[in-house]
Amino acid sequence: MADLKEELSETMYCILLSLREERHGYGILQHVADFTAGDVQIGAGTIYTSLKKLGRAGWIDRTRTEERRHYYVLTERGVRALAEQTRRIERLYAYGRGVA
Amino acid sequence: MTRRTAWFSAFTHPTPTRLEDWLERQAAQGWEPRQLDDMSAIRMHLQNSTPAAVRYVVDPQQKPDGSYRATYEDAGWKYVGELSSLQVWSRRYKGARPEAFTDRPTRRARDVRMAWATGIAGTLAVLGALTRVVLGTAGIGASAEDWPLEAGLFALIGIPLVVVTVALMRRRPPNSHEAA
Repeated sequence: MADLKEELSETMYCILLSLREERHGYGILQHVADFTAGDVQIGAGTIYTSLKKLGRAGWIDRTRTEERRHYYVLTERGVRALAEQTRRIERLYAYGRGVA
Repeated sequence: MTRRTAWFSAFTHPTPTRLEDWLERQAAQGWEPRQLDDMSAIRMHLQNSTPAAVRYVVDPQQKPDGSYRATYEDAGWKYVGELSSLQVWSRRYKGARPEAFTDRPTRRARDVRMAWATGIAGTLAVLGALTRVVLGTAGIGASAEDWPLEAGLFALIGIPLVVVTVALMRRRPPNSHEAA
């Protein structure tokens, strides 16, 4: 858990944001590209690897499988982790405000 | 000529990125693998095709679950086949070369998965070579005089695999500035 928090990448953070609602792998790719206006593009290999990792950490849960596609959603632990990471980013943003 | 055979391509290009680059050069020259099987690491058949920009992705996955193929296919990738636990994908493109691994942590994770595979195979081969040297020099075994050849063959396979493993593990880890 601690390790994942330390290494949480921009991609992982966007996946967590996307999984506030139930989605499958490709659905996450599309949603992230959409809400970041194309700034964050996630590849198929990256999403598959990241979902495995988040699942092992207990931050997301598989809800169902439909036509070979696994659907996932944040767990309570994932919701807490997302909130914690968001507060961390907000603090960093506050420190850096006015620089750019 | 509509078909040609490439020998030991997975051994002469032992990392995912090198194998991808080699496959992409072949496609640019009009040669593509139509399917892969257990023997393709040693003997890969390439079919003649129209020269094209094709992105290949080599993804070491021992036992991917059912959603693995759906995730790649939904994203526009075509499954080429499995090459000794390396899942190979292709995608024709124009413009920017598409990526399947879009951040450094997952590229690193891919290198680590590959290092496990080459590390285990290489260690076993090196141990085989050492065992053959010990048994051979002690004169143990029915064909004791053949030990230099057998040990040499094991070493020939094992040492390059160990070198590749070390190279994969020594690649730089992801930069901390990529963290959110």
